[in-house]
Amino acid sequence: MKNWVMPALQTLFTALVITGFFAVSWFGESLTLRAEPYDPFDPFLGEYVMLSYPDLEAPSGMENTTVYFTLKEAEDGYAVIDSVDDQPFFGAIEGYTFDQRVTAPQLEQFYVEQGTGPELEAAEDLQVTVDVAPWGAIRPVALEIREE
Amino acid sequence: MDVGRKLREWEQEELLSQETAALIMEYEKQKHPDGKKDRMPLLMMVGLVFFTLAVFSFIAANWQVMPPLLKSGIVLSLMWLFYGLGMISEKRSSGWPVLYRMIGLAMFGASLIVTAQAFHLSSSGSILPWAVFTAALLHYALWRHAAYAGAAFIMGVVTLLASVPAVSWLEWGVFTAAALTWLVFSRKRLSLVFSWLLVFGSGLKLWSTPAVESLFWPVWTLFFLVFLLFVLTKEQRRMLLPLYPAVSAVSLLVYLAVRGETEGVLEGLGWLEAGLLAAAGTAVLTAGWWKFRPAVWTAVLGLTGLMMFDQSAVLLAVTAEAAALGYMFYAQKHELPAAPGFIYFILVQAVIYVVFAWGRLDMALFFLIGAFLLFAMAGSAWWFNQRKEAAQS
Repeated sequence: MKNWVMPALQTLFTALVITGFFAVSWFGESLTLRAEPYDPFDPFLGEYVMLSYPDLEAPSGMENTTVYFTLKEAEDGYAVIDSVDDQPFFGAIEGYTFDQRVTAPQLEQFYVEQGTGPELEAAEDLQVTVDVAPWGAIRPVALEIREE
Repeated sequence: MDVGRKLREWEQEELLSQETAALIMEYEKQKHPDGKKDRMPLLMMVGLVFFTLAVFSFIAANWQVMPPLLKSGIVLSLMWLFYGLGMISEKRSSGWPVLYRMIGLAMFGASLIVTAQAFHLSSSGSILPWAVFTAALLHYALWRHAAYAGAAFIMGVVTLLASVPAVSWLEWGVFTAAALTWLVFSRKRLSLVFSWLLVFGSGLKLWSTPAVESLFWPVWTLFFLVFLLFVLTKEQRRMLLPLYPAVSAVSLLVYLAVRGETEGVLEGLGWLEAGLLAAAGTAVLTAGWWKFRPAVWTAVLGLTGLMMFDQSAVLLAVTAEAAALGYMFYAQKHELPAAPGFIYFILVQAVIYVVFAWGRLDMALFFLIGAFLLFAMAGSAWWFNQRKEAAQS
């Protein structure tokens, strides 16, 4: 019995983490963000694209700080900031402002298939589809080249 | 080793009687009926190596196109495999069950990394180290092996570093509670030392909490750890007490270096906190003198608050010198190992040299002469002590 407690608990934990990711898509709203790529590769985790979001502009007076924000779909179909505050509120995504833009740890990098990173970085105009849960969790779903 | 051959050799040399040798041979036959049967054939081992390589090559070749769930599933299956091997090797009393379970634990960490990567989530947060830290602690609680204590300590440090530069009160509180629980329930030296260091680390982590700014979190934490000795058992105290002078000595050196290398008044330094620290230092001195003598050295840090107002850092330097010399005398008198005190003394000279003598040769000469004088004093004290012991014997 003792021998199976730890692998069972660890499997349960990983299953909960995975379920948490799926729950974001089950209960959340799908939004598309304009994205711009930079940077490259992690020796342990593989190839990924670092992303910044030109539409998510930081409000004045909130530079280089922790922010709480929600997203909404603008008329052109891309997501923009709905509300932003320096205090947490229900449904808010916890992120930070950097270089006049708002981002969140879950949004700043996207793992891609080996070899496709340079192509995506060269394209420069990208879009990221994310699912946003009502409780503020985000699940990035797809990274594609933007055609406008 | 061939047991039969060695037994015959010992029998011929009359180290063993014939009856004893026969008894040992009988025991060995019963314990290991046919040693050759337990061995895995060489060809099977070669085959297994190639099979494993083939499986891993197949997984690597198809990794990119695998669904995320399958990726996590593969790593979790490997985790189960190693826990299974651990169980089998423990039951058969062969192999390395601890090593297999450690690999299983590492596979759990890998499963979380792979899951984060497969679902496009950031792996930079503190969830992963927290999960592996908790799992390693549970391993230690179940199997009580030092390897799990080591893994828990390493992952505890990683967890502390993962939430730099900011940590919430909740996360800090949970971590401190986990480290304290581990400390209170530890009985073996290694586990006690590791958990004690994590509690000390959580004190340093107060710099990352949205708390009142303080320059003296390490000192406050050490004072807390002195009073914590009251709730620990006598055996736990015996094993932990050497840590107090060691960590206090290093802390004093760090404060000396910071004060000496900073121009002007230090930001966040206040008379109120300095006074409170001195009062707490007096309480630690009383508790140490009364009950835990080696912890008395920690009380010296109570003066750091007041001494940090001295912009020349001379007061801190003199205190560090006096403490180093005092400890050498103390170690000599109580027949403790001389090396730690001696090394600390050398370190104090090195720090003082860097702080005061960088570009000021006169001061360097002054402290060099001071160091020689102190060495001469320490040497003569040792010589007198030796003579006294020789006369007594």
